[in-house]
Amino acid sequence: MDQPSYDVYELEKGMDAHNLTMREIRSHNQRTYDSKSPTRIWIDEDNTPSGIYKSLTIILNTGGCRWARAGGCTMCGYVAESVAGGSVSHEDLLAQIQVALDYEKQKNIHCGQIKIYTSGSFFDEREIPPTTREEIAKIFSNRDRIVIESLPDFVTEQKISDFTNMDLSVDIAIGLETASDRIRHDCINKYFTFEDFIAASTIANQAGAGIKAYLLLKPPFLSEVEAITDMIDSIDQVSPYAHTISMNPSNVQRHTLVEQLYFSHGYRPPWLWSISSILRETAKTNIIVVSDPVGAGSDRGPHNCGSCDDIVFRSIKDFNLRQDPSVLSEPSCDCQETWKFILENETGYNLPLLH
Amino acid sequence: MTKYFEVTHRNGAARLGKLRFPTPRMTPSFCDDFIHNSGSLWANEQEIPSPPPLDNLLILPHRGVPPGAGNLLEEAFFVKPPDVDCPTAAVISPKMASDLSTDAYILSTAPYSTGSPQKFCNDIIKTRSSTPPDSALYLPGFATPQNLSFLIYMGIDLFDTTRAFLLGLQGKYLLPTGEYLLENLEDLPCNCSTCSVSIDDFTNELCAAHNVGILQNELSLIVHIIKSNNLRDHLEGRVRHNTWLTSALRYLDSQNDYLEQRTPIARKEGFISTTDDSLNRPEIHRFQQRLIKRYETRFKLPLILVPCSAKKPYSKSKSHRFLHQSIRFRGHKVSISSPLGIVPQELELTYPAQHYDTALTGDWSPTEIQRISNLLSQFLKLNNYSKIIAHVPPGGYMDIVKLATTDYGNPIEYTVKDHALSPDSLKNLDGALSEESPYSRHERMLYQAQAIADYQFGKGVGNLLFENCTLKGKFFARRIFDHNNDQIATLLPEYGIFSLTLQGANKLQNSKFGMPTVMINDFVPRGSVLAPGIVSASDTIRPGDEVFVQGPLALAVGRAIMSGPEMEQSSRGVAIDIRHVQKF
Repeated sequence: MDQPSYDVYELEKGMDAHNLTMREIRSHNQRTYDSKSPTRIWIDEDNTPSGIYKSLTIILNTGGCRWARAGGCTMCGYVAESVAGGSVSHEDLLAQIQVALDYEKQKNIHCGQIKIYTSGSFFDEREIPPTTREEIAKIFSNRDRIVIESLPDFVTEQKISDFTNMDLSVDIAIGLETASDRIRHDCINKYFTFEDFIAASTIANQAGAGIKAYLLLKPPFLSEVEAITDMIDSIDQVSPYAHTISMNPSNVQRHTLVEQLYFSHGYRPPWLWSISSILRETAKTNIIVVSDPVGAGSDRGPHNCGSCDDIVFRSIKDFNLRQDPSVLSEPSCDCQETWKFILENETGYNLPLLH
Repeated sequence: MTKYFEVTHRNGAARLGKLRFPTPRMTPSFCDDFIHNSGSLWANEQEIPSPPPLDNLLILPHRGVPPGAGNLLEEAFFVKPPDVDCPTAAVISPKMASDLSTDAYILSTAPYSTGSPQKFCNDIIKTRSSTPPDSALYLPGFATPQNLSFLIYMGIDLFDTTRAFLLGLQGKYLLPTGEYLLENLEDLPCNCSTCSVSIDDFTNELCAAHNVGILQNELSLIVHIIKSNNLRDHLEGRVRHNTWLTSALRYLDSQNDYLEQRTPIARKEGFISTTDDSLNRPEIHRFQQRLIKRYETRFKLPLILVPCSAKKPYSKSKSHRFLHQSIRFRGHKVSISSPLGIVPQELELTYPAQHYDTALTGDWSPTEIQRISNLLSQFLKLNNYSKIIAHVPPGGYMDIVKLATTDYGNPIEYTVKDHALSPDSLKNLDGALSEESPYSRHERMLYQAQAIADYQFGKGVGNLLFENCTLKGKFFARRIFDHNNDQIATLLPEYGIFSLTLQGANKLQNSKFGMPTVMINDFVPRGSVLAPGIVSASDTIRPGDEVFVQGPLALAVGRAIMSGPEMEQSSRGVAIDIRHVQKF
């Protein structure tokens, strides 16, 4: 198992340096948010172990991630979208859920699956108190599946049972990011270990819930090829503990270290070619690997040369639903040569070769 | 301690060097085919190959920090590279640059080609100044045919062909004059073998190959130019096509210390001045500084301001010979010139006064007029003349004199009617000097020797060194002997500076002025002193300076090949050419 290279709590080393840097960057955020409406709502389609579902996705506006307040992950800008001050009342949280339900009604779609994210951990009771959690479980008891996002430390059988008792199929979504503790600590500044993830998955399984692991493609400081290798290794190591892996290609979010690097030409989001190559490689495994590249084709999101971004993005979306790797091989473009050259020539001392 | 790299030739901050593989590689060069990357520690633990490769530059395990990470992270995640006995390179950021005992250093924050030129220059200056001068500096992923000369001029030694190739794959066609989009070209503006195909068959892969070929051509040309010590002339042409590079050069020139420390006191080769940027060359800046800080006139005669001449030294020119027939040793001739500013007759031989050539149209740029009149005005405040005769034609020359003398108390006589050499003008000049008596041949030779000694060693040294001396020579004091008839100095007319004998050096060293001094270990130097033999060296020593060498076993005098700081920090290379040695 790869170890982070510093005692993570040593003053001004490793994690401490990351947290100081991230707090400084985040302090430039001046925006405020309304506690009565969710951060974002949308409806999409997901491939799940029990088939393809329409999903109502809700990003609840809570106090935000506890870890992010200390500094947090180098690529994560979600905390910047949370209500300042740290806590949102039971009534306000339920008001946010109502906004989502109204949205669904207005779209005239009944979603079989609900996905709830909080820009933090749904199971962190400082964000979502127990009574609110129970109430939300009741509200969605008429659905088939629910996906709940949480850091592994907050996962307990009792919290999961609030939902399984409502006869919901529960998936716990965990932002593991990578199976490498070294990369998770040094590049991403996420504090937990792969062991913690395994422990959470064991608890979830005992409670009858599944695990959906979120992996991050191309944290800062890695070359394109290192990022691909890390993703393929991680998928391999995670597959015994999760039924689905969502590969999230890194995108440049506001008030993050990644954004600061990006502005100084020190970071380029991954190529869409990298995503298709990983999906092709991992299609043979029996775990579901999907990727919904946020901001695909834009400079701040995963992108290629600009002229092939749309077709490559569509082939990835297509693969997500059908898991048929042949769709990934259809697009081609001159910029594949550039991408291949970057795979061969980008190193830890010259990245990014192209921005 | 640098073990596998050595600097063999310097042209300002630019250098030629040698990576000491079993088959040595000369630098500057592209290191694509001789690096071995141990790998990045961000992703994995990395191992040093065993046995370590001797014919490659081993890039030690590193945690490279891209631009934008910030000081805190650069420091927190810095990895001190291990000691490995083979040619090694350490990955650093400008902040973490220090002596890490490797042969080469790699700057991981390079990819900001569109960032500010000031930041770029500061980063390179910081890195180059914090790592040993006899180590190689590798700037990865950055070189293009257009920027290569500037990068080498800053003192970078190693490059790769990555960026040129990558731009080619994206359909960007490179020439030393810039970047052209392949899709906009009607024909291929190049005759290299790669470009011998029709443009319709010219793929991006061919474009990449062409780019690399052109980059290699530019390197070959630059190496040739460094050998003839003229990189600055070449560079001023190259940067002209690109605003980023032009800004970078201007900014670099404004950070005078970095280039000045690396610029020789004198050299044989000439240079050309063709743009306003030429006015900021370090040797010109130094000449003007020393003129103000070290020069004083010893002539008790009127000042005669005259135009410079194209032929150097000025006195050998036809125009100055005409002027001389009217002056006849009755005044102190000071020539007005661009880019040097003003040149007193005593310093006409002294580098770079007889070494430059300038583009002449008769029109002066406002920058030239402003700068030279400032210099002249300072000169007039520091040197007292009973009278000024301005034998300058109307136009730029006269504008300079008028601007410089607006607050000047003493009378100024303008003696040129139309042209400086017209019979009327020359007659006016003669007439203006009618009441003066000429200086002697001895005065002329002594004052010149003293002015050069002041310029070279410091104000007052001329009086100290050459008091009661015998001067031998026809036109100038070629050899100077003290009252015991021991030779103390020899004037080198092609540089316009002195070399000292042990007697001369001792006399200066034991005076209140002292001499730039290098302390050496316990050996008797023969021919040259190598950097590892040096204990300490004065900060002020510049390449080409006369230095006093002192050690437990001997005294010596010689000429510095590198600057004082470089002598102290280097572990390889010739530091001093020794001329005279005295064993104890």
